Amino acid sequence: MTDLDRQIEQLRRCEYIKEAEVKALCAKAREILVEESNVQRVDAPVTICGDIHGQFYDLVELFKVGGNCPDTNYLFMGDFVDRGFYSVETFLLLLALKVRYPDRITLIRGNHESRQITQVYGFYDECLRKYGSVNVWRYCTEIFDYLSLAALIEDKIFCVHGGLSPSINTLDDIRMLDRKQEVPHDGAMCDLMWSDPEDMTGWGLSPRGAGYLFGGDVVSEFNHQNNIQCIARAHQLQMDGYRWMFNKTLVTVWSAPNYCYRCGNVAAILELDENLHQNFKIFEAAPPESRGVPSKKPAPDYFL
Amino acid sequence: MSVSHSQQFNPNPVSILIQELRHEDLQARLHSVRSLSTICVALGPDRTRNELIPFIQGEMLDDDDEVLIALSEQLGKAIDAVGGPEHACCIIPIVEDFACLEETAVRDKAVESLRKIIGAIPLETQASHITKLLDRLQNAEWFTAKMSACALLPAVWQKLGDELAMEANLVETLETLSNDSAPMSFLEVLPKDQVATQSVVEVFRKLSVDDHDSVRLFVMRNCISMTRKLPEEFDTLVRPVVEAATMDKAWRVRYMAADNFKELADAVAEGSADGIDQVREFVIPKYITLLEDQEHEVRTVATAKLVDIFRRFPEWKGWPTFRSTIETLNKLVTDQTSLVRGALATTVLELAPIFEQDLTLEHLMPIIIALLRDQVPEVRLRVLASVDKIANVVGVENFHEALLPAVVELAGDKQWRVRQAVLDHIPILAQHLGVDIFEKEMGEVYRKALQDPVFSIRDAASQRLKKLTEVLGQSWAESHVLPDLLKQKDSPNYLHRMTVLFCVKTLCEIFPRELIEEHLLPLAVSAAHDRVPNVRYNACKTLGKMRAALKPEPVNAAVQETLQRLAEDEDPDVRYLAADTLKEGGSSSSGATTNGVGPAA
Repeated sequence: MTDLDRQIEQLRRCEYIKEAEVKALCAKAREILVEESNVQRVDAPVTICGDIHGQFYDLVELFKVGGNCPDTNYLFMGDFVDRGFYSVETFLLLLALKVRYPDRITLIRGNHESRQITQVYGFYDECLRKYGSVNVWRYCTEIFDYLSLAALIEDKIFCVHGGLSPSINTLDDIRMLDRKQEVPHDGAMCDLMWSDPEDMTGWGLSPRGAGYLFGGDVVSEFNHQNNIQCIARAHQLQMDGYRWMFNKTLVTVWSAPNYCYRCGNVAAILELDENLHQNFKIFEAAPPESRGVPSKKPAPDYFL
Repeated sequence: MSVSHSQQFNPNPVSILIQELRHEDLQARLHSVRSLSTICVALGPDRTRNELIPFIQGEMLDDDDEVLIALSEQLGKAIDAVGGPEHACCIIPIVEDFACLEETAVRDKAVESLRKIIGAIPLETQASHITKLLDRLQNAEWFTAKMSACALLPAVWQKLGDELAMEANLVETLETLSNDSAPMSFLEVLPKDQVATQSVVEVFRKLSVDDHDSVRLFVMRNCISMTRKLPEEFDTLVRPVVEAATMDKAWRVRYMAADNFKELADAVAEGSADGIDQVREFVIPKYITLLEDQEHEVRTVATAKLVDIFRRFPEWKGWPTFRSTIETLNKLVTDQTSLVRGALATTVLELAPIFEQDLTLEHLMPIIIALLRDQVPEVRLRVLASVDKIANVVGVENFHEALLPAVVELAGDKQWRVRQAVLDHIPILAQHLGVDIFEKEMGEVYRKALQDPVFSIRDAASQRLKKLTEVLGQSWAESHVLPDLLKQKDSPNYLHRMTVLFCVKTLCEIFPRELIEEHLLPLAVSAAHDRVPNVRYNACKTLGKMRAALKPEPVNAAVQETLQRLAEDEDPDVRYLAADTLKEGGSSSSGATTNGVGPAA
């Protein structure tokens, strides 16, 4: 068994790996991610997942329902970290799987994969608490800059964390962006990660303070222009796990059950078979008995 | 670890430990507390007594409760570490400090450790350490210390023995403490002396009607002690107190009563020749009222403890109260709290072997069936967890007729964990039912699980196939599973096509060579041509397994050819796994490749 396989086993048990191992893992991940396009092409069959937010045991539940990687192909649409108790384990497991099986799992960037946001919503503090320094946070946020901004499944389904941007008309507009940077406060790259669909016409100001609201006509125009069937995105809590909008031309997928351990929502993943037939799988939060206790500081070995 | 080894250790271990104990991270402090015994061994008894214990005493009192609980516990185990029983008294002062603190959990742990220490101290030379400890605690200003004194009193009494206890005026201590209305459970020991007994009985009476319900919580424990010590006075002394406890206005008192009823019944039954009549006429009827208590916590504990009492008094089945007990259980089926219904589920399943066939069929079966259909999944899961044991009690035919339909119904439950629980029972049910009934009632259920939308269910179904085939025979697998696998291999969903391979892998472990080659090989080879790489990847894993299963006979040509073709697959994962499987020369590979960076690198 290789080091990487061993690390994956360890992370699957929700035990975080050593700082030096994180550093090496991120270096390998960068080699793989740097080759990926801003709009990464993905083949069907694939299972699309929304926000996870550090809810590690619910991610394990997701794999129980959807199947293990690499047997099942996965596309995760960002927001791996923050808010939950296990952002470190969650992101590192997904990243290790990406390094081990680059063709079986695709990760794209969410608005929480950012230096600024993670300092406010928990990932930074968690790294500091678990490792005693912010090095791991630094390695991970550097990797965030290399994550793709969007994915395109079989040229038909466009996947992005947030939504559309008034500065983007074609997929080529996205491909032209220089993504290797912190998420900016405005502009095309920011909008892809921050915007939300809304029952309206045209564009509107977003109450989030970043990105835009976009209406059904905008989606219809974008889909037509780029010859795609529908947009899959995440970013907004859905009590039923997913929600269609605009005559089934856009779907929101949400994969963090009982969000923040208190919202009471179910989660969903969207299975696409090789003919792009859609099948939503709904799942609930992992039952309490399958959640471990937080891992303790490893034993100091003064005498042994 | 040997002591000699630690003596070679240069840096002062006490100072390292002290640093660790002062660490700002709670987890680090907890960890060092928990490894205290290792440190003591390293230090040796002298340094533990002279350096470590004094340090801890001054330093730790203000720490987190969690640390103090751990420390109290560790110190109770440290008797050997400080040099054995004759030195045990040096731990008393620290633990005593903890026994005076406000937090109950810390105090409880400290008292527990003090009991251990008191038990160890040699009576001949050091009895005064024990009595002085009790004195200090009982005369302390704070109520918390007095509480600990109450909790320690029986242990001290027991340790000293009646004679020394009278000498040390423990009866007086008892009276003083009872005037403080400290909650106590004290009567594990009773002096032989008449006058002293009278005093203790007075204390018992007084505490039984104390105004504070936290004091009355211990009433039932005291009733048990009294019944054991003075069985002839049960009717006059204890009975009214028990009666009052089951109707106490505080539900916690009733809870404690229910929790301790079996022990009371024990004491009553053993106390006198007509004890069993007392149990039948008084104890059991009182218990039944607790099963119908208005507070659900009380109902839950009374329901859960029912089995213990039935097990102790199986003759209950013939008593007049039996019918009303069954009526009460039937009411609990529709209890508004699922906790009560969950407790009932476990209880009725455990009652079945005590009730035996006829009574189970008549009285418990309807309850079990109703609970299998409970609206809360946890309750359904509780019943499912041991439903197969009912078959032993009532016989296969009755089980089949009465219970199986309800179990089969749950195979279609919308909670996947319930479906999985049914699946977990399938092999053992198959064993009970035999191939004909199983195939008729559950064959479809099983095959449907192979196409369940949830991966875990499909996975579990494929894993159960081995046990099922062992139980039902190869011919069952050939005629009732293989045809479905042949259909499922053309499913439009690649995940379901993969399930076929999981089944093939399982069957390889149990089928003989001819059957593998005739039935399983074609399935694996056809999967190796699948257009989805994930399926080809699993085909490769399966072929590796198959080749191992076919050993030591010559390698099957088709297996080898297919693997070789897969080694040139367009997908890098498949290619590497196939090459690896070929290289391993047929050792049973679970598919781990040796390329660390991943195929794309």
